[in-house]
Amino acid sequence: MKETEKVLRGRELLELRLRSLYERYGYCKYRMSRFEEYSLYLENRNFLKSDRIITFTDDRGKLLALKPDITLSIVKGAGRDAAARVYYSENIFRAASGSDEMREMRQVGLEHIGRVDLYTESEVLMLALESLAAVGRDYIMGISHLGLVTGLLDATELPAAEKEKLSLYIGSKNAHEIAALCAASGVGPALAEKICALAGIYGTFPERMDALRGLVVNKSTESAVEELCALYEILAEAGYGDRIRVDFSVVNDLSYYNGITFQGFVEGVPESVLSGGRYDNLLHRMGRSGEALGFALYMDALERTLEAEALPEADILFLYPEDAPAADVARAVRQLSREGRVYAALTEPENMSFCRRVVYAAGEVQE
Amino acid sequence: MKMLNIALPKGRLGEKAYGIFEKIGYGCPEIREDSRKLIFENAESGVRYFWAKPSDVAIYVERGAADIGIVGKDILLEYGPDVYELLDLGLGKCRMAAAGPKGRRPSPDRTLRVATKFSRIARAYYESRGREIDIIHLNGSIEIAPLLDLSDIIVDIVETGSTLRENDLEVYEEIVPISARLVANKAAYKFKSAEIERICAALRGELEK
Repeated sequence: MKETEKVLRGRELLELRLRSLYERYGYCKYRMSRFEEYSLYLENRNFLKSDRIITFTDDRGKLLALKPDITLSIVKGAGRDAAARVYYSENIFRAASGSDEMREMRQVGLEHIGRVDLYTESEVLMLALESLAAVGRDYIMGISHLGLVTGLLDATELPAAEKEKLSLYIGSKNAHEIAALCAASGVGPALAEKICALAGIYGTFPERMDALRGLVVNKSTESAVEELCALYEILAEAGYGDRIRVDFSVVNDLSYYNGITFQGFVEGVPESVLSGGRYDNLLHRMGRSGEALGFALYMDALERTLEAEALPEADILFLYPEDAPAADVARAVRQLSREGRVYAALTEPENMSFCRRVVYAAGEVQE
Repeated sequence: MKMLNIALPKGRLGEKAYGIFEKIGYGCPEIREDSRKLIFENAESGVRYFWAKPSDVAIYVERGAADIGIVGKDILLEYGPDVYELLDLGLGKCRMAAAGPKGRRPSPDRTLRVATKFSRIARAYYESRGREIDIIHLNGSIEIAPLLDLSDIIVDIVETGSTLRENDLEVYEEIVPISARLVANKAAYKFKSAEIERICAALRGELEK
């Protein structure tokens, strides 16, 4: 292990740690092809955050795409009512946030498809938290429950377009716009106040427990609050209590997601580095039965924090004269490579960093 | 206490906004002095200000160079940055409007030629009404476009309407009211929530006065 860690840098090392974490909880590595039929994305356009996809036709004229997403392919491959407990680390192709340019990005993620109960949810949340911890910086995870969001939005009895606007405002914690829209469309002040409160709530669970319970308006909101509190209890006991926050600005497309959703942040990265949630609705839309939950880590967003301390380019610089027999040099290098990373050269390269310099002279290796 | 980076839009709006920060105890006397400094810090109250081009403030905040910032709703609608919009400061009130030559409404039978700096806002507005438009993106002096028959109408910010009047133009429709908003970076809000909430509450209190 030590030997591997010496060679792996930043992102690779993190991926290794994540993989061993997921394996320990019974998830298998899922490897997939880079291409997918374009129709899969066409049918589920809103599931993807951006509709920009790189497509091409194969030699039989079928339209293929470079994968912009992994979850859809896993669900597709899981079969009608199959269960899957998998993790992946794959490259995907999508437009970078805040830009139109297509980029190849690395994503590590985990999916649990099949039966999802409270324990499963807590396990996936714990793995998401541990994944953030593996980065080695201060981290925070915001948790929301879409049952509460949809419950409150449905209670307004507004048309879908207005509800969608409200959900966007909740996502940007925009209470003033929520109040204005509610007032303009005749939503009662008591309910409007609750939706504003929902958008504004942020804090640890013990701090916000009362505020949470204050949001209950019907059965579905009540069970959502119960579920959140139950999850908090389990995670707090596992020692993550001060890492998680109630935060309803984690909104995802309601036609795919339901139940808990979450988003992870790591100090020093200005955007979310992990996002996940419950997506039973996606399963049902794709004609599958069952329940599903998963998350993904954005390795590119994390890259800035993983800047490994600058290692010297070589442990040992090995200089040999031109007239040295090649076989002798080979033997010497082989010997030295057991002690560290060797860089063999005739002359010392400019601007090179190394720890030891070894010279081959008169048939002998000298420091 | 963690230091808060605040991006202010250069110009009148930014100065007004800074005035409010000063009133609630987050002043930084240096900033009023005429200097070439770009960044102003008040370690005591834990804030650091810098001036940015108004349309860039949202970018500084979205990318985390600033934790919070003051930005016009017009910019937020046009660029759609992924930030929290925490507060309507009610400063710099104006409206985004469609305007054109006085007393001469363009025929609904033709593609509408729209000159604007705010392509996305204009497109979204006319799309929602099912009207086909031809966007002519200009970077300034929008009012001249209908006068030279470059466009039928303009979509632009209207404050007092005096520029429109002087050029024999009038507002046809109001698209959306605009004012300055306090925005926050989503990650900064997580790690500096106490500081940001404190400043937010103080601003809210000051605005309600």
